[in-house]
Amino acid sequence: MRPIDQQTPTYMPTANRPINAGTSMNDNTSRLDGVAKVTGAARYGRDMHLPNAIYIALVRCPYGAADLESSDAAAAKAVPGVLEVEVTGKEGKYHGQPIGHVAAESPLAMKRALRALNCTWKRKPVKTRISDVAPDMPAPEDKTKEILESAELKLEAVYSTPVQPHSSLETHGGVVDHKGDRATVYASTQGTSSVKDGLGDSLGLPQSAFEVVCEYVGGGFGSKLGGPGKEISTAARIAAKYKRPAYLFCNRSEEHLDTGNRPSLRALVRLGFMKDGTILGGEIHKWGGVGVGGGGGGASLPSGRYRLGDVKKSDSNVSTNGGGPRPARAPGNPQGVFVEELMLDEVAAMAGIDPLDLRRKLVTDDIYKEMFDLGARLIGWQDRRANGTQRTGLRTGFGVGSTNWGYRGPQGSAEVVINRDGSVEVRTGTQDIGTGQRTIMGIVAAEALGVPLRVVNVRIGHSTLPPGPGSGGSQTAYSTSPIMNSATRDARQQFLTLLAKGDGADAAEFDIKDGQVLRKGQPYLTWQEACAKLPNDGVTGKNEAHPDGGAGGSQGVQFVKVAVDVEAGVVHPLHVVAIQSCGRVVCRKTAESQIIGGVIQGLSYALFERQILDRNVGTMVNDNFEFYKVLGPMDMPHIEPVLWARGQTGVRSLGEPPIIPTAGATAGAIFNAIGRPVRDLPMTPDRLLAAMEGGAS
Amino acid sequence: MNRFAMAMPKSYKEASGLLTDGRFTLPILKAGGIDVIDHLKEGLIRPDLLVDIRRLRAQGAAPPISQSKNGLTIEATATLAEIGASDVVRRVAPVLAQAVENAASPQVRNAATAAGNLLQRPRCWYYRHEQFDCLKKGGPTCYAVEGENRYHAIFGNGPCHIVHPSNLAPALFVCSGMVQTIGGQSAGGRQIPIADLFHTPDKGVRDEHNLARDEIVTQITCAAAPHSGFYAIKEKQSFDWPLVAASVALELEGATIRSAKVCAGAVAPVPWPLPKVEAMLRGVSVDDDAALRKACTAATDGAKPMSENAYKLKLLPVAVRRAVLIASGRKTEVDA
Amino acid sequence: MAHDPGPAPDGAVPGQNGPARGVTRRSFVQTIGISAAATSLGSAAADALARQRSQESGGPEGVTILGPDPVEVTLNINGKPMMATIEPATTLMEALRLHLNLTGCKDVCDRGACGACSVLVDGRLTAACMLLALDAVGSQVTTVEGLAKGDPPKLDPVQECFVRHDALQCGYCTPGLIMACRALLNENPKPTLEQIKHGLSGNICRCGTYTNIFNAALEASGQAPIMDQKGA
Repeated sequence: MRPIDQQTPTYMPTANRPINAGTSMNDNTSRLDGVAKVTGAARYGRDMHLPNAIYIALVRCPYGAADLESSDAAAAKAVPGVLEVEVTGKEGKYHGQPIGHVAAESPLAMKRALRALNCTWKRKPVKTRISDVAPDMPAPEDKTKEILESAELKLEAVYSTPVQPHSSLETHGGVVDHKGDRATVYASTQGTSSVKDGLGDSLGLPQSAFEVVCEYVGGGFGSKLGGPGKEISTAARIAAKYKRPAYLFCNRSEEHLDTGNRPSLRALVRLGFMKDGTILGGEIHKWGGVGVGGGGGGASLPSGRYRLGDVKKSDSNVSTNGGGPRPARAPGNPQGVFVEELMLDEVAAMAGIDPLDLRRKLVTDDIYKEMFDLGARLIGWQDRRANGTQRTGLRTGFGVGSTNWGYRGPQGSAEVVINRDGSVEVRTGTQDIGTGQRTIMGIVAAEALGVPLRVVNVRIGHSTLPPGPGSGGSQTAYSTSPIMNSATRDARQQFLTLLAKGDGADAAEFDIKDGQVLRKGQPYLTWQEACAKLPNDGVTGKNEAHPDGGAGGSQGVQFVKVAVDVEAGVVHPLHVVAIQSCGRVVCRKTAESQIIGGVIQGLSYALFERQILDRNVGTMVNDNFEFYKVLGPMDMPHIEPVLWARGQTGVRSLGEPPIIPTAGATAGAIFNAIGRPVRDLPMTPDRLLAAMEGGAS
Repeated sequence: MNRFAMAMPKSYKEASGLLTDGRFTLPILKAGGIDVIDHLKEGLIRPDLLVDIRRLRAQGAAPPISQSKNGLTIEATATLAEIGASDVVRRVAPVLAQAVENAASPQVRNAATAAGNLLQRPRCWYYRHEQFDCLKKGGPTCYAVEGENRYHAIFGNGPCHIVHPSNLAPALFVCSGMVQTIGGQSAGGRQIPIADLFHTPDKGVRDEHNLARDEIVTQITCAAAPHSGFYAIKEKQSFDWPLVAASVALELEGATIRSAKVCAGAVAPVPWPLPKVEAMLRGVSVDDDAALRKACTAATDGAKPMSENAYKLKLLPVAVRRAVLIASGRKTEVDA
Repeated sequence: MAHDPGPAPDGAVPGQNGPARGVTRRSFVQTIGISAAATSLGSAAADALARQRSQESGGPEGVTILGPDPVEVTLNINGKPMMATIEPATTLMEALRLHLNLTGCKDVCDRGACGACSVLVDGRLTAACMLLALDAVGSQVTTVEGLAKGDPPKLDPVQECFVRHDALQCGYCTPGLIMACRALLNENPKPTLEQIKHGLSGNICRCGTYTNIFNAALEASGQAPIMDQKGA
């Protein structure tokens, strides 16, 4: 693998991405399921409209807290085509909480039954915001007071981030095709195996009589981890009862309400620091708004990437009348890093130091300094003006943030089959949620075997395959790559041993390269000829239990350049440079896509997204894509992904790290442009205007 | 959606007749269908008949938009896309093209009609959620007053605090727009100035327009306004509703404003004329930025912001000033 | 292609039972089958349909009234007539997905706010979730399944460029974005980057692939990917 050339000219066009060229095992391969996805041939769980299917919807509480007063099950059952109506719950504690279900012969009848059920509710008082539950700010602790007194400068500030639903485009749910004595479960999931485990005996069938299938997933971002969930479980129960296919998918509103979210955060920061930027310490109190979830509100703050001195921190989960959180792409990180990066920018501004120089001084790992240098060149940091010194209507701002991600070692299992017809099938029961996992598996196997990718068939997304990892924790590529490599090498060894045995030779004389079998370095057999010599069932390679992936953590930095229309308070993102290490890049195109996607989601979080619960009755009033605002094409900056392969071995994490620093870097850029920090996400025009008028937002 | 039948009348007259056809309990008129289908899906209306005029044109095979002696004639069922792409509109009354190009998305603009845009119901999230028995639905209260009102009205005295959702209505207002109708009280239909098409909630909270139940807009006319412009401030530049919007039509003598018509959108339950701004703009040179800014500050006279939307007071003068600059062919700071 | 949609969906509105006024479903399909050849709005075929209805129903001055019971319709999808039996309260998206098994039209927001269900109706980009299926009768509907043409099918340049530029991740928004790109390029064969952004502004991609989509649209219109422009 060729390292990134640090002597690359200051700015290179990315039309052909020369910066990244040669960084990966495979620079030009397009994802294997691309054609299926662009032609509509790819069938997702939600697309499985089977003949004779039962359509199911959950009955849900429309308020943040309410008691069910009445419902008219008889009227709902009387709607033609309705099979059953069941209301078991009496109380709702968040908008979207299920209290029963309706099942019908068609989606139209199902929706009409929900209306005919005509639930009436008695509303109760709700708490929707962290400040409703924890209004008070704690007084500084004695230790903090001491630090602040010895410091030359101090920062005391409160920051906040909103609840962010994952907003997967394919909603949560599944189709259970029950055929009486066997079943297939089409699940939209990040854990095919975990759905199978979680269903247990709810289908009335032994585990051997059903399989879970997940060929394609329309987004998950963490929310589709952890078993079948209430959607697939309910579908399973009804499918088993009627011995018919059962279909249950959330609609857009339900997806916003009851399929998890990134919890909100409020953070109180008290820091003492010196004029040279040395941070002495202080305290950081954090409150995570977790709805009815009970926990999961923690934020990665401090991140550990900067020396912040002696900082005491506290974490509280705050219960409100909202749906609970689920892991959301880099849980706890974007919100914590938003606070940390903006806080550092405020420290830098008070100390009169360039924020990049402050970070160079404070970072705990030198790799960031090198990344800062490259990123500063690519974004044009030299054009940065001091905070708040511009007087034009459109003001430019530059910001920076950093990210890292840990490594937990490979897991899962795989098989590689070489068939007599020359085809190669690689199997592992993981799934591709859009990361390119299917393609990565194929590339790893093709390279390890020495054959072209086109002979490789990748099979994933079935519970009958060797169990693979869930698509979470940015571990799938680094887990399955060494596993797949190991299984492929096993198949290869068996293959060569059989060939050698047939010729009465030593296996060491044989090799496979570019789809040719070599003997003593000379072309010996074509791939087809060699495979024809295999026994009927070919050879099957299996992985060793704990192959050494030789990997470690990944790191990254991002630079954001914005233009702020100061009178209107509108932010126009112009340019993002996202430098990301991830060890050995398997597939350049899908790797770059992960970075671009992380940046876009991070920008959307920074500028637009927020769950809005009515403060009086707890209803999410923007449970749609009209007022729950997701970044669109006209809000796009130029995004420049830079794969940093220098000096790193093994396949490392890439899915989550790129979403982490974007909001923080954007906040820094806005601060730079308007001269005031906007301490609350999303950074909407009302908040920018308030910040410019005086103080923070 | 509930069960309904669908009628496909061949003329507006037939359509009007169907709206009062005693055989149906609740006939509803549908053209492009964007707002009607939304209502059907949310369970806000449960008609037994949709009267589908999507394919009707008052002038038969005539083009959807034509230049008249004094301005423009626009078929009621002309789509927003047709208006936005029309060279005639861009030349004769550019504010209309700019207003519709700023509305919704390409998909919606291809379906939504001119009259449908004028007569669409508000996007207030309490109105749109079935479970809120708000004033507009015959209930006892406006939930926005004590609730989430960041996108609600800063003008008008309630009791309902919607903002009128149409981009086209304020734009037509500044071009002296009129709608031609058929049905209703007068047999031959009538011509209604845009200003008289709508009423504030205190004059009737259940609906926003003054048309009779069987009255159908068939055509829209407006005067030429070559020096006109539209500007909206939006949180998101892709497919978002304006936080505030301004439509302006100027009569210019050189750089000097002889007269101005100014109407704000997204700030009141009806298109909100700004007569004081109009008066202060008179005689001002568009190149005298201090005078221009001073005139635009009058835009918020009489505003009564709610708990969460006072920011609109800062935005409205900005939008008005930029609309003036656009109308007079000047650049705004964001064009730089 | 079409499978049995199962028992007729129903759900009576109080006070509105009884037979459909106007016409019944009978023979509707033949009439529309003829009209499918005509593409213009308010076509002669629609008039022919209306005349026939008026004779059958004795309705006022020949007004065509369909439903509320399911009616048989023939939709012209990807150049082929396809039959479905649907209530008037059926969107084109539901007709495609539930009745005609064309699931490339994705159901995401169901309110015209995300573009995932985008199809072309008489060449115009349309949110299939916000169009009643009956309103598509007589029009030419193109879905993502109909873009690849020839035998064997050859990908549309937009599709090819999406794959080459990795302009997709999970793929759920992809058919809608491909249709939006196709519609844009049909109207404007050489759009600028700004025009591409504007043309695609009704579509949401949650995975965040816009950068590559822009490049795909540029290349599909014979232009070099120009994402190297700063601030582009």
